[in-house]
Amino acid sequence: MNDTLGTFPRAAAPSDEIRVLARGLALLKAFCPRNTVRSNGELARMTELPKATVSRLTATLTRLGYLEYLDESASYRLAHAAVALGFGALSTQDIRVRAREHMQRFADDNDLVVVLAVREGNVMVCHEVCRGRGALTIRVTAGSRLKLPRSAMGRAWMATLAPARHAAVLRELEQAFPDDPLRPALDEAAAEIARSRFCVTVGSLEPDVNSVATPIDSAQSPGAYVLGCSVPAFRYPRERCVAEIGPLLLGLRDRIEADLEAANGAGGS
Amino acid sequence: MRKRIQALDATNGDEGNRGIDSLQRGMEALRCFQPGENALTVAEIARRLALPRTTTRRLLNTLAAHDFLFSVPDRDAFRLHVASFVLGQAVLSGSELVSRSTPVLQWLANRHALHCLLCVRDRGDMLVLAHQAGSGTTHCPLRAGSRLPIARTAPGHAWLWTQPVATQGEWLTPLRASANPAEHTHAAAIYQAFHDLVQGGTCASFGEWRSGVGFIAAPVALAGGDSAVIAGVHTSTAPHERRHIEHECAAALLQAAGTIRREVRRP
Repeated sequence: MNDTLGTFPRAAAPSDEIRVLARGLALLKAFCPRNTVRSNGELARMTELPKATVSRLTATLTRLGYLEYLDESASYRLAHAAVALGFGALSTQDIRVRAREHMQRFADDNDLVVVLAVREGNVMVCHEVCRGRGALTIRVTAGSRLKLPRSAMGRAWMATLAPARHAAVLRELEQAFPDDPLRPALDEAAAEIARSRFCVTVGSLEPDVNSVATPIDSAQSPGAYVLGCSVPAFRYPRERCVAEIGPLLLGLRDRIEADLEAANGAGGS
Repeated sequence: MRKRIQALDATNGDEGNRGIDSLQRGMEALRCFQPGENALTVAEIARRLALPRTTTRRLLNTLAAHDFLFSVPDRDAFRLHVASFVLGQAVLSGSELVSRSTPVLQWLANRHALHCLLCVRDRGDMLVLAHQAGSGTTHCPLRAGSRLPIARTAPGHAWLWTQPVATQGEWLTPLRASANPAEHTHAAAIYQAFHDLVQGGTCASFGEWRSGVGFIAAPVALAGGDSAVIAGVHTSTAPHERRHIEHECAAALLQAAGTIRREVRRP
């Protein structure tokens, strides 16, 4: 599974980027998605920063309360206070909260895994994962990162981009995944999205798993969120994904979008 | 907010420098966002951080480049974004305290049809790490990541009770010395809570944080002298109902606190 998680790639830095803050953020991200315990040496390797810089940053973040130092292993992990860095405010109004109930019902009714994800660099980050009782497909949890070009959700997200941005992102992906023939798969997904508003991938992340994805149209985060579901390939070959799962997923998307629209109409700022 | 930043700057001591200030200020920018606030303008964030707008904008652009914030199209504003969520989720999913407390909170929530919380101290607040709703309960605005003021809620009072006398004094002295009568009321409520905790192991508060919302809380002693707090949340406004809930819940709350204490100390 680690093979699919990837790393946090660096996006192009803004011209006025504050370097020490950028490095601190990269360090915090290195503990995601499961708050893995890390030494300064590991952090230095992961973030490609000098070890002395990492040591200074971890010491500062520990003093600020966002990291916790573990004596026995001479290493660090995120402290509880890191939850205060926006998580609470985000979770009260995020699309996740609105979508979760619909997604869980959908997962239970259809016995599959349904995921809400956002693009971050070259990966799709799973924000919410709901799974039916017997769903044994892809082992993702909230926070898991799927390689963008190999996931149906990543391909669906690419299909939402304007041509200039699509070309720019494609260049980044081609550098990050030099061995993958990206363009044919992305073009096929874009054609599917244009035709039926969802796309299907066959075994692109794991060999026995097929996936379906569709972008969500949210006024709060236009083009940011993608909804996807994974099903066992032996039960749902491509044809059944197109004929059955795709339309069901579009129904789920419509319900979530209607809920978001109602929430915004009710005064969500 | 200016006071808070100054206080934080002071903690930098001899190591303080502009770079470290920037890291700290970036973290503070993320903490600016409160539940119910979607997007904040650059001007508003600058005001809350007591920083010049140009400095604030650089902080926000850096946070946005790393997906902690999202620049709202066509507005000079930002809102929280995926990395803030992923970071919080990583803490919660990797926390033994949370994972071992959650089933106990669910049991408590179902038994008394309450919302139940697990909180730890974060500066002047109690930070909610876990929230479980009992079956049939109405909506509760509190969830993981919410913050409750220590001086005005039973979870805060229960945490303060576990602290050394000197720490208690740091909280109580300014409240008692304040010219604001409301602060005296908060101090009196804290003393009452200490009395109740000595007598029965739990304490309660109602309406001091938000009208119509009440808490009953019990501390959980953790390894290393640290403390967490578990609490039940209710919205019963009638005094006799409140007393009934507080009385009914107290024993279960203490039982739950004991179970969590044993669970988190289990290897």
